Amino acid sequence: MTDDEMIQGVIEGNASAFDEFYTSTKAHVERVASFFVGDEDSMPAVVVGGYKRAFDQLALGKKPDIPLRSWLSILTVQEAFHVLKDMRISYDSQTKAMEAVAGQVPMLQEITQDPKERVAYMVRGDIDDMPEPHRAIMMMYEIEGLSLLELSKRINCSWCGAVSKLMMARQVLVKRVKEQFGL
Amino acid sequence: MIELNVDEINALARVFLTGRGREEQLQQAQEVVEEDPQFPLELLAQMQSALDDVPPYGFTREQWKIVDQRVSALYATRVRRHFFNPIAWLLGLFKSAPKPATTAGAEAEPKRRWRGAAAPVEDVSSSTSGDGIEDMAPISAVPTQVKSAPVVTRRPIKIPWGLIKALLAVTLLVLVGWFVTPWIKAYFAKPAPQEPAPPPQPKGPPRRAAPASAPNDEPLPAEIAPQDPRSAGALTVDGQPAPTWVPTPLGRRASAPTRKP
Repeated sequence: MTDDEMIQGVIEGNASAFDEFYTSTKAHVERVASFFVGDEDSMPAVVVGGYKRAFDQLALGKKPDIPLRSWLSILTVQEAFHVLKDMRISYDSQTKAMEAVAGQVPMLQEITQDPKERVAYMVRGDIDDMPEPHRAIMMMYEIEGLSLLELSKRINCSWCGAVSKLMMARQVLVKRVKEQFGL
Repeated sequence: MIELNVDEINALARVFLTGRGREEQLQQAQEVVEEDPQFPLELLAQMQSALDDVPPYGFTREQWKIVDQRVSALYATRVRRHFFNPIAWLLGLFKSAPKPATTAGAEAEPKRRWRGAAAPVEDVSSSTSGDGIEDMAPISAVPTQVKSAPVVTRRPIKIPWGLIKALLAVTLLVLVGWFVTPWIKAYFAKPAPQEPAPPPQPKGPPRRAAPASAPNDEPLPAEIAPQDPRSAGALTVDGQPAPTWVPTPLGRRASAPTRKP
């Protein structure tokens, strides 16, 4: 069955076309989703959501005007983007929380007024005492200055997986600082 | 609708994935990802290049089971149940298989060769025009066997599929008609005229017959009047039942009751 026949069969509600559509594309959709949310709990939801988008559009009679797998890639990334965006928002709010904690440390208040510099000093002061693998991740991101994309490449992890590990390492650091200074 | 050029899309995707964008850029990315299909593809391309086109993890077998079930449930509600359509089935019998489309530049599909048939040998000697020496093929190129041997080709058996299908269709129609016609007749047949209902019997206790020595001469009602035994069909001869005609194998013969001397 060709791609066009599968798409036409799905539009007509043919059960065998649905089966063929899914079995022939699921490995591709899984691969696309794993780049972004590979080792996260939300990955099944992303794959299912991608297929839901595809079936919804085909139910309306909208045939893709690009190759089937490229079209499914777009739909899967659109579905994964919600997870990425939520993670970005959590990451940004955690950054602000770290700056707030660093601003409460008296020693750092004397050193500089820049909140980002305070965070950098705070990280350098406690990073050696952090447990692995949090220390390695904090080293790569805060000391070496890798971006989130480079971090995911370095630890061979999906984008969400890298951000998730970085946020966990930051939590460990903040907890140590709060315990040290009684915040 | 936000329209961005390729460079802006690349920059926006990079800013988002590196985590260095501001809140406005995050908002812009959220709007663009649904409107411009180029942006999701750019996000994917940057992730693929960052990870050397090797995705980190896939589903485990248990996760696949869950995903398969969920996607199956997703499209199970969209499957349309088609009832058997005999007309479509009959039409499908006569529908020939689609021929493979050949493009203009592509070579046509070679004809089917049957086993045992020798491949025809091309007659090289006639390929040159013979006008000049430059047209002549070198001696090494000229095959020793110039003429091909007589090719024995087996004639393919042609099965009359169309005729078989037509016969099948006609047989099916006849069978269906044979089974269905009695029901159709029974359905459209007029109902048989019903016999008139018997007059209603008078209700109440049965009346007693009046005594024979009734003082008045008025005729008795038909119900209680003494009936003529002949009309009642109970003829008697000397107190014995009247002879009746009983059909016998030898003909009709009266079975007379035995008379007393």
